[in-house]
Amino acid sequence: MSSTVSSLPPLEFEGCNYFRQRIILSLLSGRAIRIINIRTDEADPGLVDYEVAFLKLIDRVTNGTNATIGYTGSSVTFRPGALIGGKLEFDCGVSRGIGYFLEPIITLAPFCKKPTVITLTGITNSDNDLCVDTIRTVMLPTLIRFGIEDGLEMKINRRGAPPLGGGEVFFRCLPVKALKAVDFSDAGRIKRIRGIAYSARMSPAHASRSIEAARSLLNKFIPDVYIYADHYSGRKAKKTAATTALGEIAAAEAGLSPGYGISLVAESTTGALLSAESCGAAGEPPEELGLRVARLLYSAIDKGGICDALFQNLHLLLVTLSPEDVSRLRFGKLTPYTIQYLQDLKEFFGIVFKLKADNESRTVLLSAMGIGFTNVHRKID
Amino acid sequence: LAERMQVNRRVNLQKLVYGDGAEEDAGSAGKPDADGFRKVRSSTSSQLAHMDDGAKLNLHLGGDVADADLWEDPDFLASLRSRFITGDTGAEGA
Repeated sequence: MSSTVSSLPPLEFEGCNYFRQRIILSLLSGRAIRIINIRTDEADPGLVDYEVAFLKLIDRVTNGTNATIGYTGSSVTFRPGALIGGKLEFDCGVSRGIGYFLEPIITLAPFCKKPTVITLTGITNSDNDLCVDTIRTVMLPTLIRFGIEDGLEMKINRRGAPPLGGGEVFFRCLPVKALKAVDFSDAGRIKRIRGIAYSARMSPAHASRSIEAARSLLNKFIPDVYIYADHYSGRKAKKTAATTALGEIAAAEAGLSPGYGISLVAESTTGALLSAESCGAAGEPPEELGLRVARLLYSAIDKGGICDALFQNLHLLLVTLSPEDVSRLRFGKLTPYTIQYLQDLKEFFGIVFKLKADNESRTVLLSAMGIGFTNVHRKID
Repeated sequence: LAERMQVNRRVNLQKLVYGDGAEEDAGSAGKPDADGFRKVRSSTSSQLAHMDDGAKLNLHLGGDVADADLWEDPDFLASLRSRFITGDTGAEGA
């Protein structure tokens, strides 16, 4: 079992937000939690299907976990077990995207006993959760920066747009002994922009039109812009030049619903990754989507920092679990979600980040000493 | 832009995030109940605490939506340009 602080008293939280992050922190810290007043003011109170599915997924990657849902469904008591990992397949349903489930699994996988080899099916790209493209192009490089690189692999086998989904994603990660402390206080300057525009069960022109529109805005600031077009037809597709160049997106038939979207990532001279993504809404012209996502990316770049709002909590968690050495991060504006996450990290691990506003660059410098989390399952090489 | 300017104001971030007891131990926030569970003080916003978890919109509540009007603002464009390696020359277009 990993190092825990389970001797500390269990914690009680309120409300359905931050559900996944508290379950994850409970597993990593070894502290039991109870979440109460889940949607008590709503017409349909209690846990919803995707939250129950998430608990089922956690049950499958752990051993000895005990999650007890209250009689009305509006409270859950979670007693964490040991992180095991292993090989499994899981249907994420269609209420939430695969990103909802994959994001926490990726943070847990390095600390499991066995290699985690997981195939998730469901909605790969939606506007509610992180798209699998952004997870692959931002989240995985972030893990590598913190020393998680052995056997890290993610493959999008099939695209699945809402409402019916039908997409499939493969993820593999080997256990690591410990993370690395990082000094990531220099956001650098943006040197290139990469992206993927996908279309599934639609005309490939949707992807290329959104690319052209995005490029028209992106090229005003930087010439090094490359956005792949990734088309999935309803039938078995042939491997295109774009997919071959990517080398990671296997050409396969699309999921069950038509959809298109675009995911952009700006990379800085210091390796900072800032992303923006969105899917085409019904009736939205591809040009509007391309411009909207390009503006979102510029908005993220303007805020500064080494990551965008979507990945601030991942960086904070990895710094918390890093060795007992000082790590530094630089964020743009702290979101309410990040502020709550900082408070939760303090509750679970007793870690308090030192926060310093940099008025010149309008960013926040965060520093903390990691708790020295080690995965005792992994032998020293 | 006014919101962006506000960021420049000197605020005690430590106090803003962790409250007055930033230097206290994590275990001092509340007493355990009969079952041993220690209630954690509610979120900074109770409205936020009851939103759906993980939705991208939640994460962007800090105002990440790129306002179209902003693209007419020379200050915004200048600050944005300074973030790119091509920014020094003011180069536009490939």
